[in-house]
Amino acid sequence: MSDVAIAGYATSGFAGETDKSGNELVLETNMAALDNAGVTREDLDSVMFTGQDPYDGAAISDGQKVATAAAYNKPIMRLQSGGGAAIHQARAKIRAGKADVVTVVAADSVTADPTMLSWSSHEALYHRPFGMNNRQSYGFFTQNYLDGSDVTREDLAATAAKNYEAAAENPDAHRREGYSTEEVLDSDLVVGPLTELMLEPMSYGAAVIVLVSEAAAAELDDVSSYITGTGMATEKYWYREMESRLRQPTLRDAAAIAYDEAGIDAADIDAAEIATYAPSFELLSYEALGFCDEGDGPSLVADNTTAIDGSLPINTSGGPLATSPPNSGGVYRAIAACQQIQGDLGRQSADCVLLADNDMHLGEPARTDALVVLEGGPA
Amino acid sequence: MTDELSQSVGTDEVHGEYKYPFHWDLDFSLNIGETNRRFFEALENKQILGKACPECGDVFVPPQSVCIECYVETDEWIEVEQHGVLESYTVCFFQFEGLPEPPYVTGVIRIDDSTICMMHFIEELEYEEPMDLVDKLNKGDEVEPVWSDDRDGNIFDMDHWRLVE
Repeated sequence: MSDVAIAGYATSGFAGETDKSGNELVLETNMAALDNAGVTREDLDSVMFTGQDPYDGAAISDGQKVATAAAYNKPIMRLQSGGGAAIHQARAKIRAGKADVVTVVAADSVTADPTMLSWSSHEALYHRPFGMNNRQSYGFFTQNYLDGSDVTREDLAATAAKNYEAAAENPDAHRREGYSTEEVLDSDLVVGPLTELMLEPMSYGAAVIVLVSEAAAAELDDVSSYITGTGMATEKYWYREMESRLRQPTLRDAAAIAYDEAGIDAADIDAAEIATYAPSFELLSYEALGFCDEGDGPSLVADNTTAIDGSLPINTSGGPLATSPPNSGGVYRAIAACQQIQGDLGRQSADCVLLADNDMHLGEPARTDALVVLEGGPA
Repeated sequence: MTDELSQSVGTDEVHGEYKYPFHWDLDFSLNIGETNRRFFEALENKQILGKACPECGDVFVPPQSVCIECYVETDEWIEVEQHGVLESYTVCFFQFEGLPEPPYVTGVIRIDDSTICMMHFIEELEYEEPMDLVDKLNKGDEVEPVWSDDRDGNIFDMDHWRLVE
């Protein structure tokens, strides 16, 4: 079985709008990623798209980007559970001996109202009549968390501010204003205790990552990092049930699988990029990923452990609160993890970086988590 | 400060010089099936029904046709008590198409001893400032349905839920 390396990547950078078409974004980003990896269209064995029809405003939207993704006459697959899941599947394809070079491609270019998009994806008889969408689901989760713990809105705001401080140093980030805790608290209320700056923006741009087999990596000059473990988990989450959600069981299960496969535990991780669409998810993810004991999440923010210059920086890119393209967010987070291993993001070197992604941009219930452990140097 | 944010850009904010507006306008009809139909018919008679798993005995309100844990079909209909416990709630501060003027409260309600919960509006809450609503309720609060006078077999036959005094 072959190990898998990340040979290269590219991103367009992200902003609140783009004047480029999806094909233009994919073409320039994909060409840059192949060039960065040192491979050509002829070397490419397969393409994984990650995205969803609602965010592209078209059905089978990946089919419209086949040419610009260099996928013509090659096996192409689209995964709707996010970039982390697509990387997991791309790695599986290489490890199974079915390919040596696989790209994971994603782009966000179509403008629409994300609240309506996520509302339209929810169950029609019992949830949609009450406006259930992604933000409502984050509100339920967060209110449940605050009601059952000592965590405060100030803790949530401080966590968001920590991410904005990191994003201010990241040229690819969408929100780079470095909002303070007070500014986060003072921004407009959106749902429950969550303000606009405690929720992810809608970002536009593209991201492409190139995965190669160990054999292919040996022929390339510069391979940035290796995937040493992945894990995926889907739980019932029971659409109408709240009790177990704060433990984030799928994140825990996916982490256990990925850690075991990589032969590491939480203490070996130097930094992490986590798909946290509200600060409540980040604080509880610290527990689920084994970074702290139950109830200690806010203390990791308060003592700067997870700040950009802390001992365990989390979301050095700024995370989803700063940059949240629904299709390409997971791929971008993987790129940010690679950049940390290469010393191009953050303030300190990192040998082992965790990517935790999920498909929660349409809402928290019925969630799938995908984890990837990235390590520098030969596996 | 918040005016500078571009949290989301709606389709009505079109920049003609580089955007080409379009929309999907499709009608869908959902087949609700026997389990949902019976639940909604009972609402017309001010009854709340659930279904129970024959193996583990868990009760599901709203009814589910299968128990996820046991993977067997639920077969027993049960009329449950019209009493709920608030598992969570959230106050919506943004205007949403076809929904009430904000702020309004949506609750996640566990009815009787149901294993799962359902959503509904929580009303009859007095407040001065919209933000007061966030602290008005608590996880574990007891709630009861307020029935509509005009019922025709849908989820709004229960007009809303309110705190039990």
